[in-house]
Amino acid sequence: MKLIINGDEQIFDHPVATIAQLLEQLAVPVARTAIELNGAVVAQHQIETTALQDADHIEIVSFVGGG
Amino acid sequence: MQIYINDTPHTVEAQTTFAQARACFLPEATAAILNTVPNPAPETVLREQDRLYLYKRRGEFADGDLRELILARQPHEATEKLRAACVGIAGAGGLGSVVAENLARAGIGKLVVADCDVVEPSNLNRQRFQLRQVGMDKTTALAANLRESCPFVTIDAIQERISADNCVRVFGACAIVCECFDAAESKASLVTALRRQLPDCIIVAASGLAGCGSAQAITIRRVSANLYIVGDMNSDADSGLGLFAPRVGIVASLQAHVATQIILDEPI
Repeated sequence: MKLIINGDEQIFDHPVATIAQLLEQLAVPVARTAIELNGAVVAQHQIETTALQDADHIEIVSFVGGG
Repeated sequence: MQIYINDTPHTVEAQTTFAQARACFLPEATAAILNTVPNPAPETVLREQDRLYLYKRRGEFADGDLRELILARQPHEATEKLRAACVGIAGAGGLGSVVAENLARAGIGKLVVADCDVVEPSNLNRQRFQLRQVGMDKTTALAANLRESCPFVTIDAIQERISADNCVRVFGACAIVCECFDAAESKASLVTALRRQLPDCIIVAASGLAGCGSAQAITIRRVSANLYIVGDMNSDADSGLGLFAPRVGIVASLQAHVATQIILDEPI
Protein backbone atom coordinates (compact mmCIF):
# COMPACT_ATOMS: atom_id res chain seq x y z
CA MET A 1 0.00 0.00 0.00
CA LYS A 2 1.31 3.43 -0.98
CA LEU A 3 0.68 6.57 1.09
CA ILE A 4 2.06 10.08 0.58
CA ILE A 5 2.86 11.29 4.08
CA ASN A 6 3.89 14.93 4.48
CA GLY A 7 4.87 14.98 0.82
CA ASP A 8 6.98 11.80 0.92
CA GLU A 9 5.82 8.57 -0.69
CA GLN A 10 5.92 5.59 1.68
CA ILE A 11 5.23 1.97 0.84
CA PHE A 12 3.65 -0.33 3.44
CA ASP A 13 3.90 -4.07 2.89
CA HIS A 14 0.48 -4.55 4.49
CA PRO A 15 -2.75 -2.54 4.29
CA VAL A 16 -3.20 0.34 6.74
CA ALA A 17 -6.95 0.48 7.30
CA THR A 18 -7.44 3.76 9.19
CA ILE A 19 -5.64 6.97 10.09
CA ALA A 20 -5.47 5.78 13.70
CA GLN A 21 -3.64 2.60 12.60
CA LEU A 22 -1.18 4.66 10.60
CA LEU A 23 -0.47 6.96 13.56
CA GLU A 24 0.03 3.93 15.80
CA GLN A 25 2.59 2.48 13.38
CA LEU A 26 4.38 5.81 13.23
CA ALA A 27 4.27 6.04 17.05
CA VAL A 28 2.52 9.41 16.84
CA PRO A 29 -0.04 10.07 19.65
CA VAL A 30 -3.47 10.73 18.12
CA ALA A 31 -4.41 13.48 20.58
CA ARG A 32 -1.31 15.49 19.69
CA THR A 33 -1.84 15.58 15.95
CA ALA A 34 -3.73 17.66 13.44
CA ILE A 35 -4.50 15.64 10.32
CA GLU A 36 -5.30 16.56 6.74
CA LEU A 37 -6.39 13.82 4.34
CA ASN A 38 -6.35 14.67 0.63
CA GLY A 39 -6.64 18.36 1.47
CA ALA A 40 -9.51 18.04 3.97
CA VAL A 41 -8.97 18.57 7.69
CA VAL A 42 -9.99 15.50 9.70
CA ALA A 43 -11.80 16.05 13.02
CA GLN A 44 -10.04 14.36 15.92
CA HIS A 45 -13.01 12.12 16.70
CA GLN A 46 -12.92 10.87 13.09
CA ILE A 47 -9.28 9.76 13.19
CA GLU A 48 -10.25 6.31 14.56
CA THR A 49 -12.78 5.61 11.83
CA THR A 50 -11.47 7.39 8.73
CA ALA A 51 -10.38 4.75 6.23
CA LEU A 52 -7.25 5.09 4.12
CA GLN A 53 -7.04 4.24 0.42
CA ASP A 54 -4.01 3.49 -1.70
CA ALA A 55 -2.24 6.69 -2.86
CA ASP A 56 -3.91 8.91 -0.26
CA HIS A 57 -2.13 12.14 0.63
CA ILE A 58 -1.94 12.59 4.37
CA GLU A 59 -0.48 15.55 6.22
CA ILE A 60 0.41 14.87 9.84
CA VAL A 61 1.13 17.88 12.04
CA SER A 62 2.47 16.64 15.33
CA PHE A 63 2.60 18.98 18.34
CA VAL A 64 4.84 18.90 21.39
CA GLY A 65 4.12 20.64 24.70
CA GLY A 66 5.31 24.00 26.00
CA GLY A 67 4.04 27.53 26.05
CA MET B 1 3.40 71.13 -0.61
CA GLN B 2 1.67 69.19 2.12
CA ILE B 3 3.43 67.61 5.08
CA TYR B 4 2.15 66.13 8.31
CA ILE B 5 3.27 67.49 11.65
CA ASN B 6 2.23 65.37 14.61
CA ASP B 7 -0.26 63.75 12.25
CA THR B 8 -1.98 66.99 11.24
CA PRO B 9 -1.68 68.09 7.58
CA HIS B 10 0.02 71.45 6.98
CA THR B 11 0.89 73.34 3.81
CA VAL B 12 4.48 74.59 3.65
CA GLU B 13 6.64 76.03 0.87
CA ALA B 14 8.81 73.73 -1.19
CA GLN B 15 12.41 73.42 0.09
CA THR B 16 11.32 74.07 3.70
CA THR B 17 13.94 72.62 6.04
CA PHE B 18 13.37 70.69 9.24
CA ALA B 19 14.77 73.63 11.26
CA GLN B 20 12.34 76.04 9.59
CA ALA B 21 9.38 73.74 10.20
CA ARG B 22 10.32 73.31 13.84
CA ALA B 23 10.73 77.10 14.31
CA CYS B 24 7.34 77.66 12.72
CA PHE B 25 5.27 74.93 14.36
CA LEU B 26 6.84 74.00 17.72
CA PRO B 27 10.01 76.01 18.49
CA GLU B 28 10.17 74.59 22.01
CA ALA B 29 10.47 71.02 20.65
CA THR B 30 13.55 69.22 21.96
CA ALA B 31 13.06 66.06 19.94
CA ALA B 32 11.85 65.09 16.49
CA ILE B 33 11.18 62.04 14.36
CA LEU B 34 11.02 62.44 10.58
CA ASN B 35 9.61 59.54 8.54
CA THR B 36 10.48 57.07 11.34
CA VAL B 37 14.06 58.39 11.78
CA PRO B 38 14.88 60.31 14.98
CA ASN B 39 16.87 63.53 15.24
CA PRO B 40 16.94 64.82 11.66
CA ALA B 41 19.73 67.28 10.82
CA PRO B 42 18.48 70.91 10.92
CA GLU B 43 19.22 71.47 7.23
CA THR B 44 17.21 68.41 6.10
CA VAL B 45 14.90 69.52 3.29
CA LEU B 46 11.34 68.31 3.80
CA ARG B 47 9.45 66.61 0.99
CA GLU B 48 5.84 66.24 -0.05
CA GLN B 49 3.87 63.93 2.36
CA ASP B 50 6.70 63.80 4.91
CA ARG B 51 5.61 62.91 8.44
CA LEU B 52 7.33 64.92 11.13
CA TYR B 53 6.77 64.48 14.85
CA LEU B 54 7.86 67.30 17.16
CA TYR B 55 7.74 67.04 20.93
CA LYS B 56 9.35 68.06 24.19
CA ARG B 57 11.34 65.17 25.68
CA ARG B 58 10.20 65.97 29.18
CA GLY B 59 6.88 67.38 28.08
CA GLU B 60 3.44 66.26 29.04
CA PHE B 61 1.59 64.39 26.34
CA ALA B 62 -2.11 64.69 25.68
CA ASP B 63 -3.82 61.29 25.39
CA GLY B 64 -4.99 62.05 21.86
CA ASP B 65 -1.41 62.54 20.58
CA LEU B 66 0.08 59.55 22.32
CA ARG B 67 -0.79 56.85 19.83
CA GLU B 68 0.85 58.70 16.97
CA LEU B 69 3.93 59.55 19.01
CA ILE B 70 4.29 56.00 20.34
CA LEU B 71 4.11 54.65 16.79
CA ALA B 72 6.27 57.36 15.20
CA ARG B 73 9.11 54.88 14.56
CA GLN B 74 6.87 52.74 12.30
CA PRO B 75 6.03 53.73 8.71
CA HIS B 76 2.61 55.39 8.74
CA GLU B 77 1.17 53.17 6.01
CA ALA B 78 2.10 50.03 7.95
CA THR B 79 0.68 51.47 11.16
CA GLU B 80 -2.64 52.14 9.44
CA LYS B 81 -2.85 48.52 8.22
CA LEU B 82 -2.00 47.24 11.70
CA ARG B 83 -4.62 49.52 13.26
CA ALA B 84 -7.31 47.93 11.05
CA ALA B 85 -6.37 44.38 12.07
CA CYS B 86 -7.94 42.05 14.63
CA VAL B 87 -5.78 39.18 15.93
CA GLY B 88 -6.80 36.36 18.26
CA ILE B 89 -4.45 34.94 20.89
CA ALA B 90 -5.42 31.53 22.30
CA GLY B 91 -3.64 31.24 25.62
CA ALA B 92 -2.18 34.05 27.73
CA GLY B 93 0.89 32.30 29.09
CA GLY B 94 4.56 32.23 28.09
CA LEU B 95 3.73 32.51 24.41
CA GLY B 96 0.46 34.46 24.54
CA SER B 97 1.57 37.18 26.93
CA VAL B 98 4.62 37.90 24.74
CA VAL B 99 2.68 37.70 21.46
CA ALA B 100 0.08 40.08 22.92
CA GLU B 101 2.67 42.58 24.11
CA ASN B 102 4.45 42.57 20.75
CA LEU B 103 1.26 43.05 18.77
CA ALA B 104 -0.12 45.71 21.11
CA ARG B 105 3.11 47.71 20.88
CA ALA B 106 3.01 47.40 17.08
CA GLY B 107 -0.40 49.08 17.15
CA ILE B 108 -2.74 46.22 16.26
CA GLY B 109 -6.25 47.66 16.46
CA LYS B 110 -7.89 44.82 18.34
CA LEU B 111 -6.65 41.77 20.23
CA VAL B 112 -8.91 38.93 21.38
CA VAL B 113 -7.06 37.21 24.24
CA ALA B 114 -8.52 33.99 25.63
CA ASP B 115 -7.36 31.89 28.59
CA CYS B 116 -9.02 30.11 31.53
CA ASP B 117 -6.12 30.14 34.02
CA VAL B 118 -5.03 32.42 36.84
CA VAL B 119 -1.51 33.80 37.29
CA GLU B 120 0.67 31.47 39.41
CA PRO B 121 4.15 32.04 40.85
CA SER B 122 5.72 29.51 38.45
CA ASN B 123 4.42 31.55 35.50
CA LEU B 124 6.62 34.54 36.32
CA ASN B 125 9.85 32.96 35.01
CA ARG B 126 8.63 33.61 31.45
CA GLN B 127 5.16 35.14 31.38
CA ARG B 128 4.69 38.92 31.31
CA PHE B 129 2.86 39.35 34.62
CA GLN B 130 3.72 41.15 37.83
CA LEU B 131 4.17 39.57 41.26
CA ARG B 132 1.16 41.52 42.55
CA GLN B 133 -0.96 39.84 39.84
CA VAL B 134 -0.51 36.28 41.20
CA GLY B 135 -4.00 34.86 41.72
CA MET B 136 -5.65 37.14 39.15
CA ASP B 137 -7.37 35.92 35.99
CA LYS B 138 -4.65 35.90 33.33
CA THR B 139 -6.71 37.73 30.71
CA THR B 140 -7.64 40.50 33.16
CA ALA B 141 -4.02 40.89 34.28
CA LEU B 142 -2.69 40.87 30.71
CA ALA B 143 -5.24 43.39 29.49
CA ALA B 144 -4.33 45.71 32.37
CA ASN B 145 -0.61 45.43 31.56
CA LEU B 146 -1.16 46.10 27.86
CA ARG B 147 -3.30 49.16 28.54
CA GLU B 148 -0.53 50.66 30.67
CA SER B 149 1.86 50.87 27.73
CA CYS B 150 -0.53 50.78 24.77
CA PRO B 151 -3.72 52.61 25.76
CA PHE B 152 -4.88 52.72 22.15
CA VAL B 153 -5.34 48.97 21.65
CA THR B 154 -8.79 47.43 22.06
CA ILE B 155 -8.55 44.21 24.07
CA ASP B 156 -11.28 41.59 24.33
CA ALA B 157 -10.28 39.56 27.39
CA ILE B 158 -12.11 36.22 27.27
CA GLN B 159 -11.65 34.27 30.51
CA GLU B 160 -12.86 30.90 29.20
CA ARG B 161 -11.50 27.52 28.23
CA ILE B 162 -11.31 27.50 24.44
CA SER B 163 -12.57 24.41 22.64
CA ALA B 164 -14.09 23.27 19.37
CA ASP B 165 -17.46 24.36 20.82
CA ASN B 166 -16.66 28.05 21.37
CA CYS B 167 -13.71 28.90 19.10
CA VAL B 168 -15.94 30.40 16.40
CA ARG B 169 -17.78 32.62 18.87
CA VAL B 170 -14.51 33.81 20.42
CA PHE B 171 -12.29 34.14 17.34
CA GLY B 172 -14.84 34.54 14.53
CA ALA B 173 -13.87 38.19 13.91
CA CYS B 174 -10.11 37.49 13.81
CA ALA B 175 -8.33 37.21 10.45
CA ILE B 176 -5.36 35.64 12.28
CA VAL B 177 -5.25 33.49 15.42
CA CYS B 178 -2.00 32.77 17.26
CA GLU B 179 -2.13 29.37 19.01
CA CYS B 180 -0.33 29.93 22.31
CA PHE B 181 -1.39 26.98 24.47
CA ASP B 182 0.93 24.93 26.67
CA ALA B 183 -0.39 21.35 26.27
CA ALA B 184 0.27 19.55 22.98
CA GLU B 185 -3.24 18.05 23.03
CA SER B 186 -4.80 21.52 23.35
CA LYS B 187 -2.67 22.80 20.46
CA ALA B 188 -3.72 19.93 18.16
CA SER B 189 -7.36 20.24 19.14
CA LEU B 190 -7.57 24.02 18.60
CA VAL B 191 -5.68 23.95 15.29
CA THR B 192 -7.99 21.19 14.01
CA ALA B 193 -11.14 23.01 15.19
CA LEU B 194 -10.09 26.35 13.70
CA ARG B 195 -9.10 24.82 10.37
CA ARG B 196 -12.46 23.07 10.12
CA GLN B 197 -14.71 25.82 11.44
CA LEU B 198 -12.90 29.00 10.33
CA PRO B 199 -11.16 27.90 7.12
CA ASP B 200 -10.30 31.48 6.07
CA CYS B 201 -8.61 32.25 9.38
CA ILE B 202 -4.80 32.13 9.27
CA ILE B 203 -3.35 30.16 12.19
CA VAL B 204 0.11 30.85 13.58
CA ALA B 205 0.83 27.97 15.97
CA ALA B 206 3.86 27.08 18.10
CA SER B 207 5.49 23.71 18.71
CA GLY B 208 8.93 22.94 20.11
CA LEU B 209 10.29 25.65 22.40
CA ALA B 210 11.27 23.84 25.59
CA GLY B 211 14.76 23.70 27.06
CA CYS B 212 17.75 25.84 26.20
CA GLY B 213 18.81 24.21 22.94
CA SER B 214 19.91 25.99 19.80
CA ALA B 215 17.86 28.99 18.79
CA GLN B 216 18.80 28.24 15.19
CA ALA B 217 16.75 25.03 15.35
CA ILE B 218 13.67 27.25 15.54
CA THR B 219 11.98 27.70 12.17
CA ILE B 220 8.79 29.03 10.64
CA ARG B 221 7.10 26.18 8.76
CA ARG B 222 4.19 26.79 6.41
CA VAL B 223 2.17 23.59 6.62
CA SER B 224 -0.62 24.78 4.33
CA ALA B 225 -1.94 28.05 2.93
CA ASN B 226 -3.47 29.08 6.25
CA LEU B 227 -1.29 27.31 8.81
CA TYR B 228 2.15 28.33 10.04
CA ILE B 229 4.02 26.58 12.85
CA VAL B 230 6.88 28.25 14.70
CA GLY B 231 9.35 26.28 16.82
CA ASP B 232 11.93 23.50 16.60
CA MET B 233 8.99 21.03 16.23
CA ASN B 234 10.74 18.67 18.64
CA SER B 235 11.69 19.87 22.14
CA ASP B 236 8.83 18.81 24.41
CA ALA B 237 8.18 20.49 27.76
CA ASP B 238 6.65 17.20 28.97
CA SER B 239 10.06 15.51 28.75
CA GLY B 240 11.46 17.66 31.56
CA LEU B 241 13.55 20.09 29.48
CA GLY B 242 11.96 23.03 31.26
CA LEU B 243 10.82 26.36 29.88
CA PHE B 244 13.07 29.43 29.76
CA ALA B 245 11.98 32.99 29.10
CA PRO B 246 14.48 33.70 26.29
CA ARG B 247 13.68 30.67 24.13
CA VAL B 248 9.92 30.82 24.72
CA GLY B 249 10.15 34.53 23.95
CA ILE B 250 11.94 33.90 20.65
CA VAL B 251 9.13 31.62 19.45
CA ALA B 252 6.44 34.02 20.68
CA SER B 253 8.15 36.97 19.01
CA LEU B 254 8.37 34.99 15.77
CA GLN B 255 4.65 34.23 16.00
CA ALA B 256 3.93 37.95 16.42
CA HIS B 257 6.35 38.70 13.58
CA VAL B 258 4.57 36.28 11.22
CA ALA B 259 1.19 37.81 12.17
CA THR B 260 2.58 41.28 11.45
CA GLN B 261 4.00 40.15 8.11
CA ILE B 262 0.65 38.65 7.10
CA ILE B 263 -1.12 41.93 7.91
CA LEU B 264 1.49 43.96 6.01
CA ASP B 265 1.48 41.52 3.08
CA GLU B 266 5.21 40.88 3.44
CA PRO B 267 6.75 37.62 2.17
CA ILE B 268 7.29 35.27 5.12
